Amino acid sequence: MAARRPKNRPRSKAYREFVSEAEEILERMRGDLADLADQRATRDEAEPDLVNRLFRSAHSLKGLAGMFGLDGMSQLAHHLEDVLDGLRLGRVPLSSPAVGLLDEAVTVFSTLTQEMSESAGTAPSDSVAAALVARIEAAVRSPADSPGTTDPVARLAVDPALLRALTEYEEHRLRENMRRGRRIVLVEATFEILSFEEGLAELTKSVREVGEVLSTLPAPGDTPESQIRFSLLAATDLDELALESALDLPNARIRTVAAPVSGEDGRGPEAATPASPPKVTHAESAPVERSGQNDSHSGDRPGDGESADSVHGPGEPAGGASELESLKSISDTVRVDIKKLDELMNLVGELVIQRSAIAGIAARLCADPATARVGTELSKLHKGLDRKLQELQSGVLEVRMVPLRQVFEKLSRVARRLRRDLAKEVRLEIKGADTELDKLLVEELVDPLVHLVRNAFDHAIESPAERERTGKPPTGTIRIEASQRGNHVVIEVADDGRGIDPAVVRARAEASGLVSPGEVLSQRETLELIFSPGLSTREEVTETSGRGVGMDVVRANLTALGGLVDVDSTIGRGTRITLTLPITLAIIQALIVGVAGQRFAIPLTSVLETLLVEPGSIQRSEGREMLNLRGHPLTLRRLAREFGLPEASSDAKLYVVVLGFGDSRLGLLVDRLDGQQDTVIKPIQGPIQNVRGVTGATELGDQAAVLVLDVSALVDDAVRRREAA
Amino acid sequence: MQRILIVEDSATMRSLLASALTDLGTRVEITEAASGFEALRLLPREPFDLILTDINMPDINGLELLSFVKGNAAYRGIPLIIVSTEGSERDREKGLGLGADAYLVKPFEPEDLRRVASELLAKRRED
Repeated sequence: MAARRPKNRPRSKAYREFVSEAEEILERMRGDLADLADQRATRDEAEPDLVNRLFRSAHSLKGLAGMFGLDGMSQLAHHLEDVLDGLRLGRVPLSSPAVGLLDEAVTVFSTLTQEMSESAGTAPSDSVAAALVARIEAAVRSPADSPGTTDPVARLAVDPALLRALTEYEEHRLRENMRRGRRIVLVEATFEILSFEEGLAELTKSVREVGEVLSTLPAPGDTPESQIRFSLLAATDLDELALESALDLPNARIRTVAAPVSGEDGRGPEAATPASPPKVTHAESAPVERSGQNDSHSGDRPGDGESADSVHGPGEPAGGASELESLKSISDTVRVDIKKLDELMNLVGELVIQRSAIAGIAARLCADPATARVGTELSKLHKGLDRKLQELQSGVLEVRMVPLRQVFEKLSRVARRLRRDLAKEVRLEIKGADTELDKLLVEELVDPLVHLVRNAFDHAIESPAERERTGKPPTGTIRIEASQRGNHVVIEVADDGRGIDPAVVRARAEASGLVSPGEVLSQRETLELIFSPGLSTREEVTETSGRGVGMDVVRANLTALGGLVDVDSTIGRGTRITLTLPITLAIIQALIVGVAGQRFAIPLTSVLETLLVEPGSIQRSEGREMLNLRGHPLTLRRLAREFGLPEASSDAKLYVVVLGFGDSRLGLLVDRLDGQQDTVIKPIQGPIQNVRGVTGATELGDQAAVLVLDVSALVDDAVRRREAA
Repeated sequence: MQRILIVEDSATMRSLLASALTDLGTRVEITEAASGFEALRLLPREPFDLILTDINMPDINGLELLSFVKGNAAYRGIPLIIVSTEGSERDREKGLGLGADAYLVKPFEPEDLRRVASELLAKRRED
């Protein structure tokens, strides 16, 4: 082949695509390598599917790097692939030091990819890669494969076409299974060509439960235009009768093509005589009975693959439920840089603002009899524009939404690693992985959630012995559940560990001066103390109370996203941490309120109601202002006071904006209500960017900038003040 | 107009293959499949004039797809090019043995792919 030229120039779209695909592959490899490490610690041989998946990943990386003329990366991927190929073909033992270098190779590859993306596509320096390649070469010094003298595969009683279509690896697996004396069977079933995937997925799944699927060969069915037949070559330890009853597939035909040979006498297995009569010749399609899978999966047993091959929606068959839908998802998918979506979102935001300005003009025109007719027309036009803009807005928002699945998969991996490191039996249950959230929020959630899972593992779940002493099952459970509630997403992280002891938290808080000894706190208020910065860094608390390390950081992260954290715990029973956050930060409907000469925007999602009150109905107790709201006390805060603005005269009527966030309530006293508007929150630069209680700024239709209130911070502060008072 | 089916699990590789095939001197329509299964479903829907397939893919491998195409009277006449990453000489032999019309090794030169594809498409037009 002619010398390669780097045709795919840096900065090109293809180049960016490469970086993003490589990152995806590497992420998958990291998970698979964690599984491989588990298996390396506990057994002699790795699970074939896992190794093959890793091999395919390395193989893809090599192909991609090669196409882009990235020699260093291509070399590294090539060696990675070599080691994995050796491993899957049995040439490199699982214990080989070369296998130990795989993690490092993936890390180096990631670094190179990162460098490429950061330097906008200049090829990264290859010296690190070259050094690692040399080490891998040194580590792979293993005896060559020694194939048997006579090839047992050639004697199998199957259509030669099937054997010809086996890749080298599949052939190796076949040989390996025959060497171990396993029965080789052929399972055949015919499906409708337009809907074969679901049935085939069922069939494959059943066969996998009793053995290893070596190859899947498609062939035309009896009516080739509309049917397709699949032959699964599989290896199993069961005898034929046991296999038939275990599989219980009325539509599939099973026959043994090589009977097992007992003993390790070196003889190859006998090719079977065309075996037992088929149970049924074939069927229109395989049974489409679906097990009642729900949204829950505990997909983190070692080797319970959650790689690209098996990341399906829970309850969704491997083949994809709707044929049309899956066709669409493959051919019509585009990858989009999140920055581009941000730009679009900003544009939509600006349109929204201009639309508000048009509404303002229309209202002014309508008010003047001389221009009322034009005003009405403009107002009609504005309504049409409004509808279309809303569609555009929700369309763009929808594109930004991604399921939480990716984050949850990361958590599974973290759990797997922890289980290995801490020698604790813990099951991770995940529900609601399909719940969608703005991409940016999802990214920001990773750290807090990892933190919570880690905390639960480290401190909450007891050792198996301790659990048994207290009558709990030896395996602890951490349950992560996400759900959408209106414009918010709620994520709960619950464990069945030892729970948090309020007395210990209290003692610690008093010792560190957060609470004075005589102060009366409810149980909830006491538990809330674990989020205080002064308390949570103390290690003793975590060991005795069950929680605490870095909880202040979790709260800070969530607050930055406009969210809230709540805690609920029962000693001996477990702890539940609830994260509540808005679905998106991009566009919000806001209530515009006025205090003195200033206006502020309050996200409408947090406004429960507004009231007009006489100054006399405001009660004072312990230095706080309260309002009796239908029998319930509501804490009040004056917005003017919060921002140091002149307060309205003491006899003027005031508006109360009742804010709710999570379970907390707060009444905000303002001078006037200025209506409702769609606003785009923009980050604030400069001196006021860190002011608590302000989350950003927005522009209104009349081009005026107003500050957007951070409701979570305001409500939070009120709760804390109540606690502190 | 002639129709080309690209079967390849890597999205980047699919777009590289597709962009290499845009300048063939004849009008072509390109359909992309991300897996062997996807290809099996697409085959009965459109009369393809050329298939490009990778070997290592998640569901069925390229050789199995090839075996299906060449073993089926309806599709036997469609020329098929295997585009696979270098490495396994045996897979190459197998591919050609199963009736692949050409075997390209990644990284391939776009000109090589265009030349082979043009030849096979021209031959297909004559048939």
